[in-house]
Amino acid sequence: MSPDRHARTMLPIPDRPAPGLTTYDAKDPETAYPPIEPLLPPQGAPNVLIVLVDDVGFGAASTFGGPCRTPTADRLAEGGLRYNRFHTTALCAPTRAALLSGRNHHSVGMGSITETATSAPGNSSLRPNTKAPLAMTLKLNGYSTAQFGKCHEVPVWQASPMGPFDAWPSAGGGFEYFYGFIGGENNQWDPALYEGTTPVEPPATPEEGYHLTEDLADHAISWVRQQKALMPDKPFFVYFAPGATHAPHHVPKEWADRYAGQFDQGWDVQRERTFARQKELGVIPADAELTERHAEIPAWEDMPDELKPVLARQMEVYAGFMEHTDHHVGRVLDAIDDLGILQDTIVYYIIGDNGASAEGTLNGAFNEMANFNGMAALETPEFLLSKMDELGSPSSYNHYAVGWSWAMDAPFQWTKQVASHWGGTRNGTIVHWPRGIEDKGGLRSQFSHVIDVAPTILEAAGLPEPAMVNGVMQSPMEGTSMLYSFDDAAAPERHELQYFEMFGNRGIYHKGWSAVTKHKTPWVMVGGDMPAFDDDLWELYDGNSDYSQAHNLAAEQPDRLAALQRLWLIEAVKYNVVPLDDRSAERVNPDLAGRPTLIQGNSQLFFSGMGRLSENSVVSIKNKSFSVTAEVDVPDGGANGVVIAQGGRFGGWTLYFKDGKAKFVYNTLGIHEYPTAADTPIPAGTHQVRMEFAYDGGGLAKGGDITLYYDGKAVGTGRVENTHPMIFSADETTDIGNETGTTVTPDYTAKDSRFTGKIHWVQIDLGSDDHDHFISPEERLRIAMARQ
Amino acid sequence: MGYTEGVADCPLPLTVQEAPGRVRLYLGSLAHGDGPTLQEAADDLVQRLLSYVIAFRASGFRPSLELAPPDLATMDFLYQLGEIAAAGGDIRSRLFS
Repeated sequence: MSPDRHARTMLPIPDRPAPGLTTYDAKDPETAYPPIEPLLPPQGAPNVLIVLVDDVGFGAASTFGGPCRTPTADRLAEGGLRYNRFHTTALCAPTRAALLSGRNHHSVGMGSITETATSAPGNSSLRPNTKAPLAMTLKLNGYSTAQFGKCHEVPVWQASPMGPFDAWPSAGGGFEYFYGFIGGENNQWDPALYEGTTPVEPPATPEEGYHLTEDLADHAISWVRQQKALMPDKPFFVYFAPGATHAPHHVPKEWADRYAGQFDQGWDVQRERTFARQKELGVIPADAELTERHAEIPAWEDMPDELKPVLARQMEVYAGFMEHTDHHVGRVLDAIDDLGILQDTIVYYIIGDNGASAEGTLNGAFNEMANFNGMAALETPEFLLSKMDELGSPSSYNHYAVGWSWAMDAPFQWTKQVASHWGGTRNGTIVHWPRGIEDKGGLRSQFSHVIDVAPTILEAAGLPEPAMVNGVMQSPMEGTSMLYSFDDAAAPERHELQYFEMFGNRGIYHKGWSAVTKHKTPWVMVGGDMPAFDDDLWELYDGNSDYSQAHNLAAEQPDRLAALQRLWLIEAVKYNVVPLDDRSAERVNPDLAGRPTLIQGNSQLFFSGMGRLSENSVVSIKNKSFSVTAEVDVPDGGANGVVIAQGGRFGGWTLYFKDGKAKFVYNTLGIHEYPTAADTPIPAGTHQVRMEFAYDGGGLAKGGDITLYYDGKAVGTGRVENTHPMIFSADETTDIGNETGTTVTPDYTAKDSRFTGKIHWVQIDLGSDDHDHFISPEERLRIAMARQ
Repeated sequence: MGYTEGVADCPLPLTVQEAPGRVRLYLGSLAHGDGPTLQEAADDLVQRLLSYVIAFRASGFRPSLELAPPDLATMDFLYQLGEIAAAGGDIRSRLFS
């Protein structure tokens, strides 16, 4: 191996002028310059593939004893190492930010998710430039870098098509290529995708068999093949982060049907089966105990009998979704293997960015938007039963019940969000690297954490942590390389101290012991009772003899507990964890939380071609009167297509033309559709079309009257009986001139939704009515400039 | 018509925590007020709540998908406080009724 010529602690590596004589004539025999050499990492640096699956508990995948078959993970584990004490942060964006930086989540501003960012440094959602991402470090050392799938680390006020793109994967994130989505979740059948920072449409429709995970795998395979075809000497760093298996649990029916009848016994029995299988596989210690069910989680036998078939189907769909995801991860691995480079590829297969999700309520959801509008009660057992066969299909936006998430976290207590207990943070992880790991099929039980991955990759690649990146002095990584454990199962643990915190749930791990306190239950509604932090009850566990946190020793060893509590506080101060912030209401409102917002005022102006605007990027028309006015050129023969649409199949509204007539449709939760149509077609020429919604008032989610106008003259009336009080969609957007994603109404499709005339502008106005039902040019200019 | 029926009384409990020299008054886990006396804590709570409901009325309440779902009755109560505040009314009578 030749010595590395580069000093790599300062990135980018500074260019150095060629030494020696500078001649006047290039033909001079003394002219001599060394050939240009592409930047490469040190010889022997491996390719890197990190697979991060979304929302999977420790006890879900078959590799760690769960009921969901994961043959790809099984295969990797047989040729690599299983880690059974690997930890995440209990929530997705924080885990991702920690993984990609090698720093604790609060340390990079991601104490929780971007949507709840505050102005406090630990929760700002802004990564300090003193903590460069791993992808940037690898790229500046000569790696090819690419990300496929989910990115939930972009601050919400930077997630519009105007950026800024500093936190996007392919701009400031260090990835040369990105194909995926921005946000916490997406429709697997009809996602809102980006290539780089450019919005793109999926290459096929659900009817044509499209599924996001398959598409992501296809893109990853193509990219890897191209990279190796064009730059065989250059290693790659691929980060494959599917939206699966986060809700919505979308999967082709045949994958779910493979599990038909397998969960009819319910979650309590499933948990016992998983626990037995974990013992049999040896992925948990022989003396580990199955923790008790908490009273907040209902027993299966206490669930209504009529609901049980639906509940069982929810789990069949989830299991199929997990297996389907693993299958497509396998395709990526097969492609790497086919290129003959799997030997030199270090693969991290992290099965879950947190514990299994308990965000689906106690009964589960057919459309989780009902939950997030506070309307879970609409999904009665009868309704859920009527929709059972549609679970997982494009017509659902589903999530399983809390009891299943608890079972998928076996043998631990609690679930995702509960950072205090291993059910929220312990995730089965596999490391596979034929060239670097001899103990194939081994088990590793040293404590490890997602912040350890980046230091491990750097050590495996022979790269130093950078001291400076792009002129900014870097703070040290906070993780500990796991390389020491690759070939020594008995190596003394090196990551001995780790804090945990999420929404006030907190814990500390130190040399085998853990002190923890659960502050908040994930499914207790916003506004519900919550204790003061100082009133939280702490528990103490000895991980040396109690793998699953089954025996609370707080009463027996109060001094040890107090010492650990003190240690938690020290770490919390060190990494910006304090002030603890369990505020639920303030944090979802940007003004109260202190984060920037794109939206101000009571009016917003749009122009043709604008689209993919998230709900954070558009004025809220909920629970109030509003109007939408557009100036359009109507072609001869009449207009067709969308003027403006917000949301999609699971809730939203649209103003469009059909057969030359203006139409407005309000879709409430995909359950009710309220159309209003103009009586007459709009004539050819330039016109203003307008809809007004007069809110009934008297509370949230009320209905209202609709009136349609052409050039200020009423041409149609209608009625909306009920509305969304809080949110239309997690992933659908606002579009001008067409509708992307799923459509608000089946009256048109996304493909034929493009407006056939010309849209000059569209304006939304909130609140007070404009009594002439018309917007003059002067008025429009005033509104436009008021927003400057 | 609609999915909400209107909430007559505050659906959240008022609870008090006391520490030397400080009183903290909670409205469920939704809002709090601090002060050296209960009266001042209540004044602070009202002031904070007023800013909440005005902010929610202006820009909406967009729940986070990774947080617990909102309780519609609680949110409806906040909506009603917002309407009272926007009309120049006094929210205290609804809050402490």
